[in-house]
Amino acid sequence: MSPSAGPEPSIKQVASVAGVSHMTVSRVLNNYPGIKPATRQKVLDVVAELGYRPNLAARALVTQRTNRIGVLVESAVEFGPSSTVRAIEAAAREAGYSVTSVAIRDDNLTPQDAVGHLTSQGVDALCIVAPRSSSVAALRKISISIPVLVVKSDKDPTFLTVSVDQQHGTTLAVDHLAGLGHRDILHIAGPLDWLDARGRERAFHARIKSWGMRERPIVIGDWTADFGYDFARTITSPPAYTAIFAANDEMALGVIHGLHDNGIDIPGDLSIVGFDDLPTARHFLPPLTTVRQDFQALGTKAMDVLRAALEKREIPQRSKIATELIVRQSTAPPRSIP
Amino acid sequence: MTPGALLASSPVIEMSGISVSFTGTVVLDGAGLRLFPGEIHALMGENGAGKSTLIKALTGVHKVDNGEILIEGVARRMTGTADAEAAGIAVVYQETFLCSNLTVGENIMLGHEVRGRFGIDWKATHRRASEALTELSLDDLDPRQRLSSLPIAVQQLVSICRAMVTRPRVLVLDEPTSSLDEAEVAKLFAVLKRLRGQGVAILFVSHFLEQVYAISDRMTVLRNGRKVGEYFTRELDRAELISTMIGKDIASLRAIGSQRRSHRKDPVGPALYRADGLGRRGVLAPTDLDIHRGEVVGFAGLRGSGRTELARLLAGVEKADSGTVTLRGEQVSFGSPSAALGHRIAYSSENRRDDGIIEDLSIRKNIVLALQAMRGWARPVSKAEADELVDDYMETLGIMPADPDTPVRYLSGGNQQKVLLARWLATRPRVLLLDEPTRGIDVGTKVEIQARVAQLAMEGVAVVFVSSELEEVVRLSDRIVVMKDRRKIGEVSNGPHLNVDTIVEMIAGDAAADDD
Repeated sequence: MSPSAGPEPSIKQVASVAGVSHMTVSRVLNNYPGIKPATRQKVLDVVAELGYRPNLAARALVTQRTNRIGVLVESAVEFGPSSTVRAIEAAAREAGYSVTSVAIRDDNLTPQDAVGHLTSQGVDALCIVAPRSSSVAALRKISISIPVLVVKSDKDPTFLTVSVDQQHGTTLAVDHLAGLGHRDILHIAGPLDWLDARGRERAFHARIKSWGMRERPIVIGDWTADFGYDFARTITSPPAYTAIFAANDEMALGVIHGLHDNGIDIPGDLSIVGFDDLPTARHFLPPLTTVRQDFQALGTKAMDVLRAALEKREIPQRSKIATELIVRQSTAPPRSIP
Repeated sequence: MTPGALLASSPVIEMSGISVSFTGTVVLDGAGLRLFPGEIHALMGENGAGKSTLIKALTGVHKVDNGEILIEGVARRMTGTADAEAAGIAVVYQETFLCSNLTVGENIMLGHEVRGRFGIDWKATHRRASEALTELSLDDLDPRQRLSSLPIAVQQLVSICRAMVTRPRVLVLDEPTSSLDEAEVAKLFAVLKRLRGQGVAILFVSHFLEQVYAISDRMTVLRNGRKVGEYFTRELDRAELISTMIGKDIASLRAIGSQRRSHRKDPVGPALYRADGLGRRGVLAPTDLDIHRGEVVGFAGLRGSGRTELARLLAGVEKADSGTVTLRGEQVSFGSPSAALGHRIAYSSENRRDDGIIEDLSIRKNIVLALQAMRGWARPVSKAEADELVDDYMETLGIMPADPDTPVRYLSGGNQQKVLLARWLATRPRVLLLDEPTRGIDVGTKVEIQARVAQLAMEGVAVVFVSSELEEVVRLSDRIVVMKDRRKIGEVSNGPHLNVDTIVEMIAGDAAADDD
């Protein structure tokens, strides 16, 4: 490999000359199936023309490091995951690293594709944000030679982990409601294959039990406000339960809207607690009581752990970020305490 | 030992291409197993996967039609348990075969007593027993103590000790923990780890998922008599294991949705049947459950998770030793299934043949049986009443052949199941508990039975539907009770975003691991 004069052509240049996305270029170069032969040929032609070298990490050949972190996120649409990615980007920049991120669902990738795409760019480490169980399982089947950090709350035999303390946050929410006198609480969970949804659900289950409350079947949502709205519209009169703990603020927002449309008073008839503390949560009607996740601290902690792994230092132990309960006006004592 | 180091040694046992059939039915079809010295290996699989058959093939209880068993690299034919013992394989079954009237030491040394010039040298025998106990760090056990004076868990440890007297290279444990409590399990595991440290290869069969994760180094998954794969436990996530055992990947489990667009309506008013802390030691942890009129409550979980146990306790088939039952607002207690039947609670067993259908009786007699039992023999069901009832159910359930005097043994499995269903429907139950009502029957009949269940709920019957097919539970239930390791771990309302993977993920979620 001879050193070339001038700057290296980038994958983006190849993509723009070939008139395809950089993902397609990456897939062609990594021999993924399912690419049209014409597209493949076109990309290969442009690669030859520009003299693009698939192993982008020219710098890495010298330093063995690219100072780049690959971030794999399940979906960057929801507030929590996108905030986490942004926080990691900020912390990475601060530490002198750049970030390449890929969203599995938004880009319609398999976890294998996404990891292939990132590693082909020569990243020093991988960070998996808001994972679903299938992504983590898929990751285990790929042999990855660089440090991998997964943002999840249960410990892992293989991967580094950091997370916001989901259990702590959920406990705060349940304890707040219990402290107000609620003894029958409905949990609207996220899809349980999202590890965060599962973490909150399991913590809810455990805390309800320790309060001696009778368990009520949970409802499975999809994180969206639309879901919360549709669900709430089925509640036409004040239900037997007196409070709802929603696994994120967006579903809580939809619930508030739906209950409002059904003439059910919050917090008079039903108390609502969310999770995340969206910047808009204070402007819901009524302003939402919720659990605040400190994404900035999460990003910083993630970078701390990754840098320690990269620099072969001792991995910082305390890897859970505490949460904070933000009490606003969506919670009150129950309708009547029996 | 690190994973790499473990596999660097050569396997003490290597079974491959093992096929076993009984009277023409193939039970194992190319199954296999590799066991390495110094590992604890879990044999995993759902009901009927072939776990116990594979163990019995290894220990010479079952004849192997095809395939190879290598012990330390040498091909061996196992024609009986003596061969297995000679090859250094010891087995401890769930029901331990010990003599409770003998002492601990006598049990340990049974069949291996030290003989002196004048017969058994008891002193030496007891000394050897003490040594065997010491090897397992069970010094606190007095070999002269009578076995019957010890709790079951300790008896279990004694049976392992007994198995270890011949110093086998391989120890097979079939469901060793099913009747043990947490502290007892910990004690057993300490012994297993000690044996592992001595280089013994341990094969462990358990339905307790978390125990498998706590103790095993590797696992082999069987499905439908075949080996699906072998894995390092730490590299196989729980959800992945469960989906491997079921035979579908997580993505396809996710695709099996409930097909419900609407949300379940919360039932109003007090529950028809309320259980508070209902449980039985060693069988099921205390469980709360409400069952309302007109709903289908599905019980989901892996085999051995406690779903059948819960149904049997609810129906009074098994006696609870904790908790209370409130039926329509009044506290009741059932000493027997017939007492429960008196309260119009009917339970249809998962064992259609052993516990349900009476094959030699006619369709008619099978159908009328429970109603007659409920009334008591002093008030026989009249012929006219029976005829009407039987005709009615045979027609609405489409039981074939249409002649009510046909002995049930000539009916297909699906039709036998319908007869059983008719038997319980004839009692006009308020609560109907159906345990695996569609297992082993053809698809057409299965759909008919599912439709009938849905209809019963619409008519106001509270139906409990227990099935090992998660897909069926998710499609049919208004609400799903999720079981794991003999306790209820949660309940989910059915709705647009519920799918089979939801249940798998809930089972996979381990509160204990959520910890730094």
